[in-house]
Amino acid sequence: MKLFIFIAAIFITTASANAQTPFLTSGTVEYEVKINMSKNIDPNNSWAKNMAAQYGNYSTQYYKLAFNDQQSIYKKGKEFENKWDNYLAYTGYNEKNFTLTNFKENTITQFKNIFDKQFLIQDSALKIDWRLMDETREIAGFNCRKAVGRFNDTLYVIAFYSDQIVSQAGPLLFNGLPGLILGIAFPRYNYTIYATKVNMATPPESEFTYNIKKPINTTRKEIEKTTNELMARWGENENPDEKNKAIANILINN
Amino acid sequence: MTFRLLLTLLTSLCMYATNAQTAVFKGNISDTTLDNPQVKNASITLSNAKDSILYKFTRSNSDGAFRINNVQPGKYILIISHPDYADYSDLIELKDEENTQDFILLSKAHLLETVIVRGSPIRMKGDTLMFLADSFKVHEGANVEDLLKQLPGFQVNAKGEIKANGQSITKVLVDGDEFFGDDPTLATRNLLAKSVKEVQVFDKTSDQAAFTGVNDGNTQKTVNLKLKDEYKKGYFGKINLAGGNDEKWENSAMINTFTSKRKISAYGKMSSTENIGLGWGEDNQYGGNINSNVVIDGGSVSISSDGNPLNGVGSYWGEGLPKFWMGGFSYTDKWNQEKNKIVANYRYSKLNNETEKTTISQYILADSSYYTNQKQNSYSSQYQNVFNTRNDIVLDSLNSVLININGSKRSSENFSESRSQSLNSDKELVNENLNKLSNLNNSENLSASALWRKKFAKPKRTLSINAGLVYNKSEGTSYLFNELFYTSKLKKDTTDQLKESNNKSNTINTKAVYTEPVSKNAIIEANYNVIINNREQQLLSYDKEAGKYNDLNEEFSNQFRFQSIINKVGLAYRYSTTKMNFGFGGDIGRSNWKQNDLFQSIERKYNFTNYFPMANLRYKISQYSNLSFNYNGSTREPSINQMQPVANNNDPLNIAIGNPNLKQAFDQRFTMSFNKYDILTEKSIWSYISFNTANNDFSTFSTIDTNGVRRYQTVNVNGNFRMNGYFDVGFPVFKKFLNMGFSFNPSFSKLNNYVNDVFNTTRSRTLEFGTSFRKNVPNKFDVSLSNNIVHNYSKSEVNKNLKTNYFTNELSFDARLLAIKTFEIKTTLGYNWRQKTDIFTSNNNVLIWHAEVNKRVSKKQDIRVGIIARDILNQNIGFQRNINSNLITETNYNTIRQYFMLNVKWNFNKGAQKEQEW
Repeated sequence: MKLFIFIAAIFITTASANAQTPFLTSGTVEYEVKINMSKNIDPNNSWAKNMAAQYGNYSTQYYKLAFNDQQSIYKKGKEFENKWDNYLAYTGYNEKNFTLTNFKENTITQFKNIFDKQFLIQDSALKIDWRLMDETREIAGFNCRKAVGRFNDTLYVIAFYSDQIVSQAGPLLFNGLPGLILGIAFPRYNYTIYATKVNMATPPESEFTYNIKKPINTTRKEIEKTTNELMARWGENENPDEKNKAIANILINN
Repeated sequence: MTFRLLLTLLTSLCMYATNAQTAVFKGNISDTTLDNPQVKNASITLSNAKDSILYKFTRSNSDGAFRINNVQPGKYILIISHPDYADYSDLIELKDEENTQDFILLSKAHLLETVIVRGSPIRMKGDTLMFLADSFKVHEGANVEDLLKQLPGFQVNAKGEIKANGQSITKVLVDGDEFFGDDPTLATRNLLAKSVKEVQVFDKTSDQAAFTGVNDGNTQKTVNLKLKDEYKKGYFGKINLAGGNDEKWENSAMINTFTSKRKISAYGKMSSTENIGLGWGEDNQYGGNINSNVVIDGGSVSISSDGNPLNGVGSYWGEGLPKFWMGGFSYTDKWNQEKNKIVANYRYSKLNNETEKTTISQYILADSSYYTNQKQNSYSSQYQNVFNTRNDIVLDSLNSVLININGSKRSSENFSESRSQSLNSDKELVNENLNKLSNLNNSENLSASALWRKKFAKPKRTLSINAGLVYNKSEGTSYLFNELFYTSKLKKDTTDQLKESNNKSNTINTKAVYTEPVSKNAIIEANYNVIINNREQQLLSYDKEAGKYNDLNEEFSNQFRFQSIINKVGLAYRYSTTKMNFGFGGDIGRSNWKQNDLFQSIERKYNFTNYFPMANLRYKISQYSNLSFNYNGSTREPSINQMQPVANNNDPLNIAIGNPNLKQAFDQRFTMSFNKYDILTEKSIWSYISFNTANNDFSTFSTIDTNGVRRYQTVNVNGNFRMNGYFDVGFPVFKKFLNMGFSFNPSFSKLNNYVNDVFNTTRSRTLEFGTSFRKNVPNKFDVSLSNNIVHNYSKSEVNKNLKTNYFTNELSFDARLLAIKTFEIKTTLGYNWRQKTDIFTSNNNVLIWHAEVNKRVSKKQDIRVGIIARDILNQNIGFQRNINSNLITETNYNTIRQYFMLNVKWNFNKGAQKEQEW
């Protein structure tokens, strides 16, 4: 019986349970994504430098994450003008991309528009080794703990999650922490995602549905292979770091 | 819900039952200081003790109880956290059983702040706290912000705001200076952590206090980042030495030294090969090329160049044997927080060239044709001194000014001697000619322009005003000696003249453009443009009399002044979204011309009203596929040589006569393009088509007399039409083993002129078919084979029986091989086949083979030693065939042929930058 109560406790909304700090189990988080393009581009490439002078150093994008106890979806948020979109298109950036995570089945469905082709990548959740750190930071009014994640053997990501949101969700492929991820820093690629606002209203079920005509169904392994072949053709796979960068860009950039 | 709950329950139980080697971790969490001691929603996490990787986590329920099932027995780091409580962490060992442990959390209100002090390289010097950066470990590629987070007592939030020991840092200096502005994050996020030697924290007195020396107590907590010397500045450059047989050399030395704000480069080059001038990459890195503008508009990027004014002297198109020298320097500086930027360049260059050429020409006349064969030797030497500066000034966030100043001094000498024979249609000799011309010319040029750009608070509302001034002056002296022998008359005409020319021109061009947003995606653009143009040219020819050139020959002398004032106003509507952009509009202009023939005291005035329509559409079908249409109309003014009412007898067989009655030409262009590229399948389509019609186009009215002397004048004609297309498809074949491409490049033209008083239309057609195969394995080899076949056809109405009709074909093979790591082999083979015609009977078929072997030597691989072999089979010839209405010519000229050269190149650098290979 004790076990039953324990499991029940996990599924029953706990938001009203604590008098001092409200806890959330569903809602919508608005994020600001910033990519420091001037650092990502080759500093000796005068063409790219001119682009930075024209467009500014940062590509700023707005995304949102709707979540409940079952699943979460990360997709484009409020309207924004991304002047860097042509440049980022090479990394798989597209406004229609989304990442749908199902916590029960531990699966992730990614929709990516790469090189004018529509891919639906269905796979298990990305395996990330998280280490919790002894550092906190306030994001969007929530106190967050820092965690450092390692995946794909050599890629590191920094996440800030809040205990106050009882969901393991997070932007893109990043999840699996004891609270919702409100901040992501991908220092190697000058890429940050920070929450600006958390809406407590439970998102409607329709938020988690999608309708894509004739996508190419694939898996992360296959898309990685395709990308690697492309990079090889462009002669960019000599440097293992560059290779990783391509994979990271394709998989992580929404 | 109930069902799901039961299911979860069942699964949990099953897993619990099946896995024997598991522990359970459970307990209660409470806060003894409260009336209600149960702590709900606390997160309980277990991380592996050996690598601290997060293993499992759960939450405490409303009773403060928690339970984690299926735990591998072992050592774990336990962290219990809750927003209202201080974190609890401990190292625990879980046994293969039910481990029960209760925890009491401490409310944050009771927590005393503790300061962690690491026994570390931190020093106090006076009031300054100093941290040695290398002692704090950060990941590769980390920026200063990452470094600061590692420093004891430092906190950096998401916005990049820094606190040191609880006090906000408002200023971040780099080596004592502000780093591109006041925003501390600019420095902390843009500088690499590894470039920092020391972080200093101190209280900076206010500027006022620093100025007066009186401490007013206003201090700012400041961080100063001291950079490591090797990251502050550096240089890069190269030295290239090459020498070979047949007086071939190519030596250059270039260096660029830089600091974060200043760049100084210097370069020198001398060459007797086809590589003269600076390459595009060299121009960017050393030459301070400031005239290429990158315009980014609606997703399209175009790089335009008004022609680098530094070049001028320094182009070689394969005609003759060049010798080239050049030296120059470039200076770039930014100051006042990068709001002021100056680029200044100076370049000296000199080009000597020796050419020998033979030209065969056919003039198609009504019922007959004329031929001339000419052989010419010439020598030219030209040099120039050029400077230019560009000043960018950002006045404030809404206003900026750009000032360009260019100046040059050029000088040239030309000597030529040519002999020619003219033949009539029966191939009978009509005349023989000997022409000697020497010419000395000096010119000066100065131009300045200022552009003021103003933005308004309302987005897309802008005003820009540009004012420009161009001044040109040139003086020339030439000696003409010509002997023309008429076969029929058995008579020799001798011309021996001194010619003096003076040319001055100035242009004032002002333009104002105002844009006003009319909706979210649309703007209206209004512009007003005034161009005032003054040109004056004096040409004086003196016949030799009694050993002195002082008898003015009026036929070949004139002084002429031309002034045009153009006023233009225009309106345009432009709409742009990420998917498409289109615009349409037009200008209406009034041109007032005034011509003064100062010799004849004749003044002529013309007025024109012009319309300049414009429409364009660009549609982005998808990310890699787009379609565009473009239409515009514009006018062209004739040159002063075309207008000045004087004859030019520099070539007494071809006498040009100016036409003061010329009107301006009006062009209309329509272009359309479609591109598509599929990156995954590598299939591509590039296509382009353009139509061009001209009213009052400049054409020639020529008469050829029975002695073979041609006189021609520029006249206006209607009905000229040109069409040009380009279609290219590319795709991989044999399972992406090879890339294959086909291209088709047709062009048609219908051009009118007058031949011996007869109105003539020449229709020409060129069809070019290309096929190519390419195999590229990056960093290993790149091999391509391509073939281009061109068919030329031309027919003039004046003589329908004479058709020009021939093929040329070019087959080429290119290979670049990086066989072993430090070796590189390149070779090119090209076979050119040019069909003979009835008139052009010489053999012009050549096989050209170039090869190059390079090896990188030295430890750093920065020295490259190579052997270059050009035209190994020694077959290269200069060849050109032109169809120009009813005049068809074939020219053969001397060019660089076989040579072998030894080449040593050393690239050097220090600091963060190095030369890029282009």
